[in-house]
Amino acid sequence: MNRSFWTRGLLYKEWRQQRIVLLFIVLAVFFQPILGSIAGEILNMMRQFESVQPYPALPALGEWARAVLLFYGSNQLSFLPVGATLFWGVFMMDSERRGQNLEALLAGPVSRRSVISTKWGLGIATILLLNLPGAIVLSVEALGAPGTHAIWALGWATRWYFVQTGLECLTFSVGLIVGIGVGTYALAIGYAIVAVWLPYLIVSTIAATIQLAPHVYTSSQGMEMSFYNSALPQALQQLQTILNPYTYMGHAYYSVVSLSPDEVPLSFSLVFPVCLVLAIALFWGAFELFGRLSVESWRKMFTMRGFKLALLLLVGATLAWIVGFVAMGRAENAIVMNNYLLHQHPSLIVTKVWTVFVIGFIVFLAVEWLLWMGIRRLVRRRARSTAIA
Amino acid sequence: MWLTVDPRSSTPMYQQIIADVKERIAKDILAPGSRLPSIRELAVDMTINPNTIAKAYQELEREGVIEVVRGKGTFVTEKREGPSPAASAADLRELLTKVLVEAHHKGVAFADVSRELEDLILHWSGSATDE
Amino acid sequence: MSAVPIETRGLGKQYGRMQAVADVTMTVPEGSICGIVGTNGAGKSTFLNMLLGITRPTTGSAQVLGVDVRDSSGKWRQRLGYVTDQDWFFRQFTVGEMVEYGRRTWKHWDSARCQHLLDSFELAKTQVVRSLSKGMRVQLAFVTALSLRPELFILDEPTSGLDAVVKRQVLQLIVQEAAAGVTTLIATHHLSELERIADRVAFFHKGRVILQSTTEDAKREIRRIQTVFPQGMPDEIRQAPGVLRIEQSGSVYGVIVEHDPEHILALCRRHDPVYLEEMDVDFEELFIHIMHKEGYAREQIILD
Repeated sequence: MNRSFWTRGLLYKEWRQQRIVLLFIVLAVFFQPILGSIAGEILNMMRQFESVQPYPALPALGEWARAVLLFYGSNQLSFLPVGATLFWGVFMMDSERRGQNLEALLAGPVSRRSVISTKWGLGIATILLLNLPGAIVLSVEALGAPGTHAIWALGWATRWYFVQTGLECLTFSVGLIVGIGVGTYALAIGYAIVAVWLPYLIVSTIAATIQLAPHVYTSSQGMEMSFYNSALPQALQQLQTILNPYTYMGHAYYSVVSLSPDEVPLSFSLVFPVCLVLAIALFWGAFELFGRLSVESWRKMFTMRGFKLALLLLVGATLAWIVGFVAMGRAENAIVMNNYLLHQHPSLIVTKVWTVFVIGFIVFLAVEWLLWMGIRRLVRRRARSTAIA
Repeated sequence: MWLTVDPRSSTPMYQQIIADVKERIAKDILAPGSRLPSIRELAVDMTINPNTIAKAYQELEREGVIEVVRGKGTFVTEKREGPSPAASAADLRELLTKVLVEAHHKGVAFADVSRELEDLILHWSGSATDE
Repeated sequence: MSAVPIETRGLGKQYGRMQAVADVTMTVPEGSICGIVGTNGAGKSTFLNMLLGITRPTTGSAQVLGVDVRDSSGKWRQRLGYVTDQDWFFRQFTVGEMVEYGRRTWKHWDSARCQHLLDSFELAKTQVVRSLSKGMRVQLAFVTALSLRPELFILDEPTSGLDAVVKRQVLQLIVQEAAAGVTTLIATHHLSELERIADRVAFFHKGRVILQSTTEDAKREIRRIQTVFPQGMPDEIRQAPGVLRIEQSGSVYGVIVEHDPEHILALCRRHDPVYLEEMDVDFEELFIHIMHKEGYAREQIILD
């Protein structure tokens, strides 16, 4: 095989380029459990307030550990590491474009493909490593750390690791391949979100169409017609659950990790292999795409127009969704998002999830950007002072 | 070194170098037997393509103005064996014609040209024997 | 090194409907400095990018250092130094990191030479590339390109943005490398510099090579005949074939002639001129007249 996958120089370059971003990834992946535990505690307090059955009392350390463990990867904030890896994938390619490094790189004795494989290799290795401490903590907890009860099975910890890692690998690869094709940074993020959400949106739209079709049924008052059809095909429901990114990001209703191993459907055990296969497929896509494209066409591949079209599609679909509900006289359900209804009809979640995800992502980006600017300023100041010295 | 060429001049650069070297030899700035810079040194010094220098050196060697001693360098020939007298005379005639044409344009009398030339000869022969 | 450094055959690149480079057949012998000259947007950079393997040619073939440029492994670029005035360095790197990247990337990296060059250019290893001026970045590019001990040097506008002192330093480096047998391909708009250092030249216009030869032969393409006719230029000469242009200043005429000037000289002699001389044109004039012949000309703009 006459293809060089690694170059020492490239690895060095990636390391120097990514070290600050890497810090953010570490922050996102590492601090997620801490942020998660705080969120979990608040949730717990709310539950107590609502006089929902609280969890059994545990020793002090156990209380903290439980909070961490329960929400490690299973709380509302778990989109953070997944979003961060997506962001990272896009950033890796976009930084080359913005720095106009590509000519300099490719004028050296490296192949285009090794540029991609170095990036991918570094990203995947980092993700696999970063999630290991979390998995170890979980495993220790599962085996019963001193002073705490063994509340989780070992399989729980393993599953968490694999689901989380697989998903992060996948989003990283999505980010990378999207980063190749897109002209600007913001555009790349937009495309990546579309890429992650589009399959779910399509299936949900099909489900919604079925749900909103006129439905005739017999009741005590005789024949009745309703515009609400709860009888979704089982397969479609399953598919919806599988394709919903939020499922894996630990939404309260569909968290992989908040279910006990016995309750977990078969599809969840397939998450890691499927994600990994998809991630590798995307990597090969990136590998081949980048190997074949010339630099100019790389730059021009996607235009703003394409992005606007995709965005229009998404916004349009979401709007149509809400409008449809209002028209059906179920405005209160669409807007208030009654929890019971959500639980019964998962496809209704799309609107809520949309809002949460998009707003969450924007906040995440804003925070990252602020931190980024702060660090850059610091670095620059240091550089200036050394230059003067 | 001290050679200068003007790429914008109507004379090709290698000929300018040849003329320059010849002039230095005639003025005795370059004594017979003295070493000339290597092609590389001169090229870098003048910022000129090495092939141009090589061509000039080749021509000078062919004319017997300089000689290349393998492994030692390039030197000014001890005994000058100029080109055939007939050829030189023709060249000289052509050069002088140019001078006269120029003089005619500038309105300089041929007698003045002649006097100027004699002055120059006196000056040059003076500097050639000043040692 | 046995292979010819650069050999292209019918090389072309098409972007959609736009033919950026068309049918370029060129051979650059070892150790020569070959200038690439052309109007803005003539396809020079595309041509160079194809030789570097950055841009894929759509037609024809190119062998650089004996390897087809379509070879995707990129190993053949081990002995290729590239400098461009474009802002393409890893901006967030320090000079030291840049050097470190070079050391790990190129097999024949010469650390001693690199240090020597950094010292000569007065570049400190702690400086961040982003904070360097344009000229300093070009110098850094030269440091990298020379430290990898190139056999082939591809330079795209290497002297733009450099001050006269550094420009001279850089040109001397190019000449020095050429004297040591390094082949150089240099695209530039600075024709007077090129005239000194190049021994071959190729003129690009609208993606095509309209003239390529040694610099001396190129100068034979267009000749200037300086002549004096106190009674004015005879019409016979004005209308003679091969006369591209006649410049006048008083009774002194400059006749720009294509190719062989002999018949025009003979024609002039018949009209008994006061003065007649055949002259070389310099590169700038050569360029202007060749481009003029191709229909690329700009009128003088007179402001009132």
